[in-house]
Amino acid sequence: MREPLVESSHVPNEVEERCPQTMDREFTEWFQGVVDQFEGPLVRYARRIIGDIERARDVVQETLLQLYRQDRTSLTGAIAPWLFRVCRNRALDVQRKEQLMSSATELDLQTLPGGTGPEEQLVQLETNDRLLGLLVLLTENQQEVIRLKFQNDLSYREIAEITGMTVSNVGVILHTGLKKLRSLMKDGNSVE
Amino acid sequence: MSAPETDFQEDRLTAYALDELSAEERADVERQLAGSAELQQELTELQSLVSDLRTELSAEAMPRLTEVQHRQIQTEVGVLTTVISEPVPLKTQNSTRRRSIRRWAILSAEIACGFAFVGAVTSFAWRGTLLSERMALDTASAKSGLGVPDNHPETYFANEASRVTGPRTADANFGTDNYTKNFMSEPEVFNVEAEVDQPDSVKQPGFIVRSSLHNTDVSDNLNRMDLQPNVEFNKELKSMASPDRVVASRKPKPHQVTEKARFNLVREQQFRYIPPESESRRSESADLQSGETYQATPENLFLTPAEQPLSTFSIDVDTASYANLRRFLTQGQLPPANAVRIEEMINAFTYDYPRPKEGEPFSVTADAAPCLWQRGHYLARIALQARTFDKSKRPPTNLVFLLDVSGSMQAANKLPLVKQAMTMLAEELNERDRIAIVTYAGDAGVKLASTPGHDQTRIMQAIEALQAGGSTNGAAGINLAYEEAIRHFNGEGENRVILCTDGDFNVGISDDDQLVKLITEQAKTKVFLSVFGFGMGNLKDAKLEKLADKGNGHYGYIDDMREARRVFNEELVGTLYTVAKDVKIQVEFNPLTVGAYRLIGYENRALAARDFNDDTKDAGEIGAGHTVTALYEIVPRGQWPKTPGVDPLKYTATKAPVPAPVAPPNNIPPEAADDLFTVKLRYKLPTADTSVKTVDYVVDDIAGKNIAPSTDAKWAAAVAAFGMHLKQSQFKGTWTLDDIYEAALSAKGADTNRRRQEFLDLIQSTKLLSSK
Repeated sequence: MREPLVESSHVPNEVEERCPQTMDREFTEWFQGVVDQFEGPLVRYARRIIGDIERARDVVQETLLQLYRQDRTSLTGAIAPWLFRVCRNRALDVQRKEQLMSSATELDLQTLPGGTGPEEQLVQLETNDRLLGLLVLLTENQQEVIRLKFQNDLSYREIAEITGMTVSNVGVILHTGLKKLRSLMKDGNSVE
Repeated sequence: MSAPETDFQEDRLTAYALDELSAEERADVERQLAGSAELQQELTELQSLVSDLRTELSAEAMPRLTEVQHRQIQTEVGVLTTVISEPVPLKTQNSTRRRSIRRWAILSAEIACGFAFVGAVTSFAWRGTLLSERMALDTASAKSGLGVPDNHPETYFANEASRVTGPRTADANFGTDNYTKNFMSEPEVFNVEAEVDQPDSVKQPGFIVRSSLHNTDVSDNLNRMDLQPNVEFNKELKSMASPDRVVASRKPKPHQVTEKARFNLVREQQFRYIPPESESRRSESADLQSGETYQATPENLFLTPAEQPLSTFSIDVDTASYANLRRFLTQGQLPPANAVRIEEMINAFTYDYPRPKEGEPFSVTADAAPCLWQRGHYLARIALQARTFDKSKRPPTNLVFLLDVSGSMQAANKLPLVKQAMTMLAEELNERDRIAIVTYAGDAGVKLASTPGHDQTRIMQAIEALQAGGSTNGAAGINLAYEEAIRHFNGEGENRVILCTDGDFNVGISDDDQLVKLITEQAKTKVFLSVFGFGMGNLKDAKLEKLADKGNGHYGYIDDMREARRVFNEELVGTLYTVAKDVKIQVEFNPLTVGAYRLIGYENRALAARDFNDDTKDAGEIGAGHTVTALYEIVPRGQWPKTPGVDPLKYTATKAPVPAPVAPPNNIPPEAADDLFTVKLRYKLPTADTSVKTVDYVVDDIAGKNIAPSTDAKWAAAVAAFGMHLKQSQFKGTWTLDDIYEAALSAKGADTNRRRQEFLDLIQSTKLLSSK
């Protein structure tokens, strides 16, 4: 497995019985490290789901605090999948509740310069944002898996854990997504 | 649909490329790769795609949590343990910076309706009671989402404040009694400043109950001030706040603050910042009202033609600065220096400039006269008068109003005023026009789909029904507005989105750059954007101006009914219709006659000399009937450089040499030798993409000639002088406010719209305020 870009840190082994007013130095320091490391990627991820950056920030904050309050013995192994999963679930809750505009549209608006339909967007793309622009033409699942994989460097297994899909599902979706991207790049038309 | 086997193959190839296969599967794929060049090619392409994807994706912005949120987390985690009661946010998350640094916990608990929640409050005040008290609060986390532990009475204390500037001195007692007193019922609120030291012994998470301080919307994602309180918590409270007066409230309100700002204690319910000693990171003016921001731009200095023969700038017809400073002055406050833009002040008045010729979008006048505030200097003037047309002859118009309906817009000088303004405008529309209304930041959405202008009933009903408040729908907003405009795009007429806001920018795009990009792109497709600011306390002056600039529109500020009438009725054609866009001016000064020159104002409109001929460089637009006036103060050659002479020597016979002035170039054609300067202009017609250059306008030297400034020139000079006075410019010369008043009075002229008289009144107000 290659070295992930976003380091999954592991929960320190020795933890005390949690009590909010006790200074648990080691855990706290670890936790702060986690915050530093993951807040950016998580907000970026949540924003894809929710669209609104303020809400995305809230969700991430809640997620991080939940991590802190979690029974530490239950947190074993890598922390990234846990964070992304919790974040994702919260974000989806928020999105459902508030009935925000579909992520797809919001994503269009955030990744591309102003314009209207996908055709215009294709035309308007500058070369170095090209892939990002094409990304919005994929299905939501494909986009999410691609982002989790290539933006947050999570493995198939971790992505499966986060999204609730099976591992092979993840592989298929990722592959189809990449395939579509390639054909889009080649001739601007959807193969499927 | 390819055979399943092939798909399986492809699938596995991808997995292989991403290192997701077991050793066995890997070996299998490698075997197949060895036997197929096609597969290898496939793999290479895949890897290249993956690599590009990774690069692009990792370049995507990773917005961090806000400062507020960081502190909330820290507090929860127990790192932040002191309670502070002054409105200065902590700078970093670094827990080692605890001691003797002013900072504050940004949590507030609301104790109402039987539940408490933690929200973000960035300012704090209460009357007379002390800062250092022990309080016990019940905090329940359920509603907050912030995760304050349930059933957890937390005990907090703060050290004695080292400095409190409240109306009563702080009681230095450390109470040992806990109490759940709700401080927020006091009707009057002050800000206090405090330094708190960290006690050694106890480390406890700190929370503080804060009473609300009035005002401001805080959901301005574009404003990257350090403090971005969590709007969500206090959404329902926004509508309770009237930014113009302090509300006795049981609920905390979010409030925006700059780092290290200190509040003054002010009895009337507004307050201002005292600028911090250190310069702020974004060089935004520290002299702010609550949530307002102004950009600090240093004023233009004198330049010599030898070093800088060309002066290039974009025109500006915005009048916001004048209306804004009028608002300050009529409320008894001197405006912050950075809110004063002299060019906008001068352009707020009407002048008697010559009409443009047939076919020209505007006329140009250029002249020079003695400078009245500095003996021996000249005041050069360049004046543009745009052509106008009668309302009855205006082109068909497709308008979309994009309205901020956040809770803070409830104030009388905001949404109600917007509605009146819209009504005035709507009355002027006819069947060739269309109007739509889109709202954001509150009860958002399309409130009036694009409707033909003669359907007055429907339009008026929609306007009437507009209300401030309601929950925020983050996604609706500016995109909806542009969609409405595009859907009914009028190729023969004018298409414009008119944004009316008090500063809230939750227009559905939270990223600054994306917003600017959208507006710029739309402007290219001929849907322009104008921006109008209303009210106070949250005005994001620099942002609004920039957006209008990018949108090929202008930025105005509407402080009262009169201004609304001026903008949306009397000067409607100017508001709606552009006669020329990307208007640039370039002036070349003659070193033979000019020692130094200074452009008064237009600091944030400066262009590089080469931008003049570069059509891709954006510049300001001029609306029908608008005037633009630019003033240069000129020091004639011979009087520059202004080095003081050296005193004659007492003990030595030889004289000290006088520094020789810079030798002028000697390649100037003789007929141009007594020019003072030449003015060139470029502009584009509203729908054109290439610019047109006007003829050159030459102004001769006035040395030795007995020229008096025209009335209009004198008026412009008086306004400029007043502006320089408000900015406390180092170049304001010898004039006092009385002198300015005298000059203005003598140049008042007919003043049919009474705006000049109003200006005279403002000078008097300033005199009174300055003498306090």
